[in-house]
Amino acid sequence: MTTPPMPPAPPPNRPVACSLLSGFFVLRRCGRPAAGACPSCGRPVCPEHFGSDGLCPECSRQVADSAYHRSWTYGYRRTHYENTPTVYGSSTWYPSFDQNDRDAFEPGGGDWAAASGDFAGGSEWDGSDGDAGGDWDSDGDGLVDS
Amino acid sequence: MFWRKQRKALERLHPLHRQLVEERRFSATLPSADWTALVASLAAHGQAITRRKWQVPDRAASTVVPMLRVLQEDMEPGAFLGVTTDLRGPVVSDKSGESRTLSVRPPIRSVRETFYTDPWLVVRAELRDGSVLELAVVDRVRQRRIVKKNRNGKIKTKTKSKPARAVRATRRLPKGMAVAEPAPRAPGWLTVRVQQKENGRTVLRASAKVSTHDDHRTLGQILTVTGELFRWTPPRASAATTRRSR
Repeated sequence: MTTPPMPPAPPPNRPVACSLLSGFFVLRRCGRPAAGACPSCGRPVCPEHFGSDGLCPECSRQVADSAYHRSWTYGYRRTHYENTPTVYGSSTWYPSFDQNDRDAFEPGGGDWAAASGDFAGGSEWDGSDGDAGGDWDSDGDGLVDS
Repeated sequence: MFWRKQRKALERLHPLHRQLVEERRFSATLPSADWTALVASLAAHGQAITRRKWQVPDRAASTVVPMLRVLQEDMEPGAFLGVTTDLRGPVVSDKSGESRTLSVRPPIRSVRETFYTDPWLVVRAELRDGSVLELAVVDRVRQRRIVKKNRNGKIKTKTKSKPARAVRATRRLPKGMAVAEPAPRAPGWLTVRVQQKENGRTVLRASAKVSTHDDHRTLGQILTVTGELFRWTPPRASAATTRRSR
């Protein structure tokens, strides 16, 4: 007597991924399984990115002014790109990047694909909050509703 | 035997660290992750070595180590990173080039002008986006040795140096990567050239002449010149961009 094959086990819940951006010129999200949340900013962080002070590199950058420190690159990256507009004579170039622009570095990823962040279910984009007005043309007259 | 304990400590250092201390230069190509051991060894230098003669050159801490850190961030752990650094300074016999004698008149007896070319940092890195980055920081120094005789008959020698620093970065893109001129355009002191190769690859080159007065500003200048090459390749459009444009 043969036993019927067992159905495949359901996939385990996908672990929360580390949300830090790595890289200097070529940015990308770390993506390793997170070990916990940073006590300061609350973002999920993997063991690789947790500093000795228990904070993520973005939060502990105040102490990482030496290039020998693991998290030095994060603080220096921010400083360098904040100073870039003075080099290019534009004060709007770097500040024009937001989280969605950074998501563009992730193929198929980002807040849209994960339905998280500002675009999670129930936000004003899907109209599910019952707000028929807002800034969008809900009645089809070609004018923005007030 | 003097400095016995220090000598033993020196022998325990990372091989490239020891070479940097003893010869003021090294050249190696290693997987990106393997450079972390050198950085860790350099970080502990002050605890192990106190002898002034064996101090790490200033540029190692101000430029070479930060560049290693930055490039490691953009590389896969197994990708190769090649670094050649020579921190002996420009006025070394094997860096001297063209030399000539200038015409003089009394009280100057002779002027000898020598040019030195010092490529003190050369880097090749295989980045995780498939492109290959090559970087060279070259100091070119004009040195004039002036010999003159004063009215008492005493002969004196004076040396004048005029340095100039060039940063050259080259990025060889993988096949098919799109290139677009960025806005705003690069500042006037930064030259960018785009070359389309016959094999379908694009090569971006940026070069600039930068200040030599402050070594601590060199890192920022190198990163600005290198970063210009990455402004020419816009990030790939993701689902976010596609949906937003509908």
